[in-house]
Amino acid sequence: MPSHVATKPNPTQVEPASATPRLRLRGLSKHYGGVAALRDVTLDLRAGEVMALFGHNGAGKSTLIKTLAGAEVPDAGTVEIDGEEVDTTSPRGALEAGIRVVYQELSLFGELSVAENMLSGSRRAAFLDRRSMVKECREHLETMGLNVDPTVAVESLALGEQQMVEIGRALFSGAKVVVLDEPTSALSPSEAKLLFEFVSQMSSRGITFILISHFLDEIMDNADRVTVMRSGTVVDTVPVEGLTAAALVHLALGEQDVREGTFADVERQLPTPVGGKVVARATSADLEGVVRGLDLEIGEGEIVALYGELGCGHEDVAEALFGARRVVSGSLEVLGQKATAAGPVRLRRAGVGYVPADRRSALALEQPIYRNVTLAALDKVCPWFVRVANEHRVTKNFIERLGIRGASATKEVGLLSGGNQQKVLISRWLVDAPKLLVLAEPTRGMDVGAKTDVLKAIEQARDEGASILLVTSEPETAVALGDRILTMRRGVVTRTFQDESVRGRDLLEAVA
Amino acid sequence: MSAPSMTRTTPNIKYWMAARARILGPLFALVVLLVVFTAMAPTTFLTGANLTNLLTQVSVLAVMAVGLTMVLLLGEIDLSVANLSSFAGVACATFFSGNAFGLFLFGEGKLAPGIEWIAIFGPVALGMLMGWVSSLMINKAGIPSFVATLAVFEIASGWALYWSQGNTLYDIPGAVKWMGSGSLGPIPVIALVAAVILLVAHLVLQRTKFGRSIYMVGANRRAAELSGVPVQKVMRNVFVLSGGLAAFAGVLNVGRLGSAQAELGNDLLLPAIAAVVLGGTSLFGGVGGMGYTVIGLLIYGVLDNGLDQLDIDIFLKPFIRGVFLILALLLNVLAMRIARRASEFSPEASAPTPKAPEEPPLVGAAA
Repeated sequence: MPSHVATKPNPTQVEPASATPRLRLRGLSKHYGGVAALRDVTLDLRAGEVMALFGHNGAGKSTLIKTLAGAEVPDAGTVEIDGEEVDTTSPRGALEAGIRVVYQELSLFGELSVAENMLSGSRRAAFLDRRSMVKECREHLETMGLNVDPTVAVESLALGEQQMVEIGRALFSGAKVVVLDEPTSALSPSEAKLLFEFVSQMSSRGITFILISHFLDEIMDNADRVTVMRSGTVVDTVPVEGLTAAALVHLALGEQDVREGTFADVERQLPTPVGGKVVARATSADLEGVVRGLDLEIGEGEIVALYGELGCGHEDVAEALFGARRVVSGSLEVLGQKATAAGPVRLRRAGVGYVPADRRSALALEQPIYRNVTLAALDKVCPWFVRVANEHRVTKNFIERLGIRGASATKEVGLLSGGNQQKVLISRWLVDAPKLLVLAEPTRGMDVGAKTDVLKAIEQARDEGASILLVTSEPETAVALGDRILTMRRGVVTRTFQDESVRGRDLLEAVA
Repeated sequence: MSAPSMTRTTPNIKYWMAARARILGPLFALVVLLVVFTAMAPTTFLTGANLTNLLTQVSVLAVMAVGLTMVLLLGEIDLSVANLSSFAGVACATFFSGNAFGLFLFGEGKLAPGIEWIAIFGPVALGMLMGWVSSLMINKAGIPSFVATLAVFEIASGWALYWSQGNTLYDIPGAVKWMGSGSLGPIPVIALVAAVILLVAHLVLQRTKFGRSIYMVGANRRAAELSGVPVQKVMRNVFVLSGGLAAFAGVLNVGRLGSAQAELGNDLLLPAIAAVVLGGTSLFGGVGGMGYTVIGLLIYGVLDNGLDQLDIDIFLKPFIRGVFLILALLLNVLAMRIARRASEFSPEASAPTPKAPEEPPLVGAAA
């Protein structure tokens, strides 16, 4: 523990009660290997305050929450609640300290009732008395102004209500600080509104909220202050009044590139569209989920990048192009077929390749690399009988070309690193380049070297004749590859960049 | 964030073992059993006559296990195989005898007596039909194969009773008798038939796109779908094959025993599953094959036959067999553990350390 923390006066010092912050973080640091994910993070939050937390990928928000939740143990620093140092080195410790994190993936028991879920954290009895549970729960719900029936199964509620139940559960069990991790990403505007009404009610009763959000309007409407993080440090904490998107992005990015790899200020001149054949076209398409009024054209041999923050709906667009997500209204034509009517199997046969964001769902991890590489185009590799020697040859070729380091063709894919798994997946579509290749988050979570390799592989697929939709939440990836770049925010395309000079910063501003 | 370590590939014994642990474990079990029984019953176990006997005993099981292996490779299960084999035996004798057989609500059917090819291929076709019914339930209604094939299991056993009326049927075609109990020189024909089927199935699995797609569907169904593999078609074909092979096993069984009964092969289900799993084919799909199944069959056969050679209480036999099965399965698990550990020594395996940040600064997943 750094000495400057240890030498600070202890919490028993005499202080006016009102001045004691509800939550105080002092000098929190966390390293992974040689990389600092959190550097000396110090923050004070008042009781009843809603503090927004803003920052781009890798700013340290996730690590900070994990530290608060006891999922990660910081290398240095302390957490205090109401002036008393608490132990957040384990999930249990964090719970006892009164800190709750509501993640995007809710941790509710869908088939159990609201009452059972609500009380699951606070009841310690061998036998459950259903009637008294429901009664107790109903009282709690009333005091919270939460209008749901305690006896219905949680999964039958709307997502926003489920979130409120989860927050409610946290409050029941004595939470003082609730962290909301991008709570509205899956919510409709009206659901989001309800949720924030609930949040403001709870905060007026003294509960402190940390709201992680990508969205300026959400932050301005619902938070008192916003803390901006960058590269593991707290850049500044500012009141939300008068905040602009440019100012926020500026704070989050800093004056200059902090180090190689951000690319937020790397500029690229996008080519002038040539206007050839159109491979896929969406016309005011509403998709199942959040995407509304989508207009999109992908020309032959073109790389269209669709940039947006996680959960903005860009991944839904990728799924829809592969026929795996329903088009509710409007039209989406892919290679001359109605995407929804055709479905994945027929679109695949028509020449659509799809690399899903969850790469593990597209790889057979226990199978050797060569089988994963040849999966989509075995006919091409082995016109008649399966000949493993052919497959090995093709696979070795890709291992060299894409730099899948230290791998042999027979190695199980599951033993590779994430970046190399992604390369295997892209190799699959290089064996026989499809007419349209849809890639969702192909570079997520990769180091710079692997990312460069993957970007090269994608360009190669284009050179071999594929038109490409590149869906990404990394601005630098979109800037590096897109011939045309669309930005998406809450399911709506906010800007189209073409035939102009663009920086990652511009994309960030377009979705803030 | 550092790039993955780039140690060079050094093929060593551990790596070699790792790649083959799945087969080495069962092989080791088989060798141990052979040694144990040879030592305990030196005069009776390792004789030509007994080994021939062993092969005959295991052959019916082998044919059944071929289809079952494919089903397990898909990550599914077919519980109907044993009862289908019993039914096929009854159907074989019924067709050959020329006796009337009930057609449920549609009166009776009757064939001219003595048509061998109908007596052989008719039951096989019915077995395939039942497999197709299973696949329909699985594919179209989304019923788990465990339950779907349980229904077919019941139908098959009921159908066998319905046609045999509980009688033992003795009209078995000559060709079936020859296949079941004839021999070519010292080698029983039934073992040759089983060997040919195993070999063909092996080639299908390893050398055809259909075979490959079985592995890939079993390994990751979604990945196969995303890559354009016609998953439902593969499922259908495998269950049809499994039904057909189970029926053919039933025909061989009546050829071996010289008569058909409604419950003749019913107790073969668990041995068949045990043999496939003992060989090392995974119940979760994607891993295994005919080579594994051959070894599993031999383990089961040697265990079953070897215990007969020992001077022990006959009623204790299943108990001891169970104990041996546990030991053999534990050996498989151990082999897998060794494989896993050895693979950690292989290059590139140490990709992301468990504690790696999900959000490496600047290049990670979204916070």
